[in-house]
Amino acid sequence: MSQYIIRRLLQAVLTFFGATLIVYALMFSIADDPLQALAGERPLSASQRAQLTAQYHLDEPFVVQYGYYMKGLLTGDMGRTITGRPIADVLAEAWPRTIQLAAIAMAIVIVFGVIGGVFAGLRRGGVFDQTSLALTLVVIGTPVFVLGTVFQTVFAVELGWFRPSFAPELGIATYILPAIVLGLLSLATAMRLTRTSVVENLRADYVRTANAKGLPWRRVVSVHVLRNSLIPVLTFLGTEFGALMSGAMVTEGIFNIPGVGGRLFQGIRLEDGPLVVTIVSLLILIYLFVNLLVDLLYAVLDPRIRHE
Amino acid sequence: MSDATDDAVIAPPRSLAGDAWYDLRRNPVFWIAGFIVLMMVLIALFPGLFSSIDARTAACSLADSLRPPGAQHWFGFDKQGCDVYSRVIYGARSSVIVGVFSTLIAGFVAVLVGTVAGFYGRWVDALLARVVDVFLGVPTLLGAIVVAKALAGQDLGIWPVVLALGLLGWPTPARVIRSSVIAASHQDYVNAARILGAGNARIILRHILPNSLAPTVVILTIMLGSFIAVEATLSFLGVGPRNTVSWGTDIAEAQRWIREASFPLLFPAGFLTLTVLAFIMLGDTVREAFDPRLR
Repeated sequence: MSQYIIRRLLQAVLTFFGATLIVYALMFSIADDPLQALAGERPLSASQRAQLTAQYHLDEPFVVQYGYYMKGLLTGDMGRTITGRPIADVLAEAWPRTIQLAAIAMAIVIVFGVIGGVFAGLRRGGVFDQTSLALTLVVIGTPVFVLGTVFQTVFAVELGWFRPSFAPELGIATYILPAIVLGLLSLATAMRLTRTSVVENLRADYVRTANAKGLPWRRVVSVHVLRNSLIPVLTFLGTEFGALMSGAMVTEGIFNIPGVGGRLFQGIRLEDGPLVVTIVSLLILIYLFVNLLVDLLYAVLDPRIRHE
Repeated sequence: MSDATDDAVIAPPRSLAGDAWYDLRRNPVFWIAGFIVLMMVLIALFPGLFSSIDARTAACSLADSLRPPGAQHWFGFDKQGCDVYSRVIYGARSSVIVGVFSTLIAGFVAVLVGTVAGFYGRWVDALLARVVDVFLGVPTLLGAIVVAKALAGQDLGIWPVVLALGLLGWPTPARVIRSSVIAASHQDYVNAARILGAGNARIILRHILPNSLAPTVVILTIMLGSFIAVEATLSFLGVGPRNTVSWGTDIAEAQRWIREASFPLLFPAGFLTLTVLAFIMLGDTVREAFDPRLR
């Protein structure tokens, strides 16, 4: 086990530097004039140019620039937005909102996705199974921003069940519609995955053995089948984390939630290059970290993985 | 009726591909999805056949702003007074171009990397696996935003998006083809070819690739749908190409006036979803037909 952890950690370090290097290179070396790309359509004065050059160390060789950038990210010194506000301040204010939104979305995914998937898998080919297969396919085929704008139109503007944009005075209730939008895509995939693995596990030898021993069906399903079926769902949730983050950006943007994703959305619209680069890099860091965690957890849950 | 039973008795056992085609022909979802895909490609190639108004050049009149759908203009008018139907028709092109070309790029890189890694194995495989990990570490949409942003100043149209999606999208299909290549290279016919004196290049091109491409093609079809979705999302976010008619841009614009009228949003959104869904369903039905475990 410890050997597996060490190998996996070394891989994670490599991936981490590789992925951030790619993003950094994309941002700063493919543009003709990276400073103008950071500032978007704005005219840049000479003093702004000097300030941005110093902030990103653009007068140094590429590797040194990248080193400074990584050091800044890892030590929390993230520079300033194009309008001069410290990015760390912007983010400190934004994180709690995003975490609340993501937690509610995750709860929706786990409760409805997993329970729905188990029901569909147990009654394979039944009405519920067929309907949910068709519905989840439609959800998977719908881009998050379409889902978000259509739900906002139908449920908030036309039907008036929810507020169309962020209303902090409502407390947690204001996150419900955005969380449904954010969670639906992962919910659909989680449900299909749970269904498939329940169907496969129901045919497994150990289920036959458990039945033959005379265990009650309820126990066979809840202990034997469910536990083994959830392992792939867990990995999926880890790898889907990237999609969830992109989804959070779009959802928070549509519903005007000033979370991390909403800030990124605004940053893109207002052409705030430094803010966009910093948030994207941070999100990639989190993404890699979550994937590492999931991989380690996976090895704990399924011994076959670490013995390969 | 009697013909069918005779066929079943006389016909030699079908190959996997034959079986799959037999299943597919009887699957209505396959035909519906295929039809939608074909229509979208036609619309993208010849938008003039479907709309008498050229959305790229047509003058919009504010007098028509948000006029609801009617007999002359099926989808109504948007806030700027442009005909929504013609914008939806002309918007198909950028989606289809991005989908097709970024899939071609991703597919090419994936086949190259996956085949080399699977065929040569050992340290080549280990090295390429790390490269795949690194690229998988960059979520597609976020990476594409950075590329589109960096190249925003230069007027390159949709090509930065195509390139970004292609270069960030190849790792998943590369893993798929790698494992099919590994499976295929242990087959007897590969050994036979080698004993007969075939070189590596010949073995890969004539024997291994034709036998391992199918699962990758299926994954790529599904990815084509998701690339279209990402392209629309980029346009929606405002980092897509400028001066191009695109579903994502129109949806973003319509969302601003959502309280006044919802139809300018719902029509492009519907077309976009239908297109993405058609590609995903096409790939899904083909995969199911080829998966012997489901028989």
